[in-house]
Amino acid sequence: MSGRQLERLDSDIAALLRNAEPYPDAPVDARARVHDALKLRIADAAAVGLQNVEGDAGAPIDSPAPTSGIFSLASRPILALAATFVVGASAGAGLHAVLRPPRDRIIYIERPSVSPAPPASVFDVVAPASALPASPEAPAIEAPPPARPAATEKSAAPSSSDLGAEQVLLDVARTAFAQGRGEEALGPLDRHAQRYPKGILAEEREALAINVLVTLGRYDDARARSARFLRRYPGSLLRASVEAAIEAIP
Amino acid sequence: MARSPPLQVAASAGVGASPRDFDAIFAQEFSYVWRTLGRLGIREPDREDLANEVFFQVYRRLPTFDFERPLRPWLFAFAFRIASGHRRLARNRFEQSVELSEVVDGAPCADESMERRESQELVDRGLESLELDQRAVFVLFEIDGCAMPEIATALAIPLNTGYSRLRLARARFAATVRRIKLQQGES
Repeated sequence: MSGRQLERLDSDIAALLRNAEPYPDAPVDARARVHDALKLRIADAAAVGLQNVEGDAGAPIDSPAPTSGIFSLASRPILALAATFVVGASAGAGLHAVLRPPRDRIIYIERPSVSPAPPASVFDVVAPASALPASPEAPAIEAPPPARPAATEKSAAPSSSDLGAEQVLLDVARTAFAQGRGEEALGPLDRHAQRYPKGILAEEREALAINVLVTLGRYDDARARSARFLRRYPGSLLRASVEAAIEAIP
Repeated sequence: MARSPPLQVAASAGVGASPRDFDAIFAQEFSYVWRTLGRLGIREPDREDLANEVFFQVYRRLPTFDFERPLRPWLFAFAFRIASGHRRLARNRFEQSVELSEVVDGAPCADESMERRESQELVDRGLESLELDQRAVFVLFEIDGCAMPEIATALAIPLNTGYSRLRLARARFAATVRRIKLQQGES
């Protein structure tokens, strides 16, 4: 069946649909409540390094979408089991961190080379405090290891602050890009690539960068980066966006 | 296929009405998302949480949205997926018609108002009779006025599947509505 064969809607049904409009709108206070809750949620997500956010970042939007946290956990025994494991492992790691002899380690925190863009909206996330140096003058003493499963010291697994910092960089880039300032978007994207070449948000960074490059007319760079992207993330959810950007090259 | 670069030319490509800023999208489209969730059978008490989830996903995916495309089918797709997941839980499967009396406006019950309320209830009963996949296509096509290619893209289904679902949805919707009218006429 095609569009050419599509019959007209029966007149009585069409009239019914016309008469039924408009559908009841949202109560004013519901809009305000969702607005406030969303604002907090976005800020919280940034503050905790988007752990919850990234938990479903890889899920296609056509997969069963998460509902409220309690609903989704209760309805998915595997998730509940995994959550139990994570909580237990976190508690163990935390206990280990408390009981083991103190060990100070000097680390050097890179100063941000540019100040973050001012918040463009009430939804703009605030850079998490953990992503910023406590004192620009003195080297920082490493904080206690995060309450995560052990082996985070040796592995390349990013910490919450890494994730938060990654998100801040991408947010700055995204805001600049969305406002038509593609050149300004490249800076934070490049910094992200230098600091977190294999970061949790590397896939999103690359997809955004390809779109930026196309809009800036840097087609060869965009094509090369796109080829790498498709090799590295063949099943990416962002593939359509990347391919659309490349197809848009005149 | 050569197209204009996405995300850059939208403002001058005749789709400038689509806001690029998340705040603006929220302000402009909250009502649409709210109504869509209702049309997908989400009860009003649950709609706030699900609207929150829809916009949170929109916030995260906004950088990848192609602003050459219409915004609403894209938003609808989020609402559809989230509503679909929500409705899979058995306890969420009852419909919202039981609360219609609570959500209609409180205007004086003039004949016209009463008629619109009855029409609204009929539409909701008709929508309830549809499988969610069919309902999504029906709402997008018949109520939102979207073109089928956009619907197919948004819902990630083949074009012919979209038309097929629409045909089935129309038939079932019409049958349900006419049966209810008949029952009302007999009572």
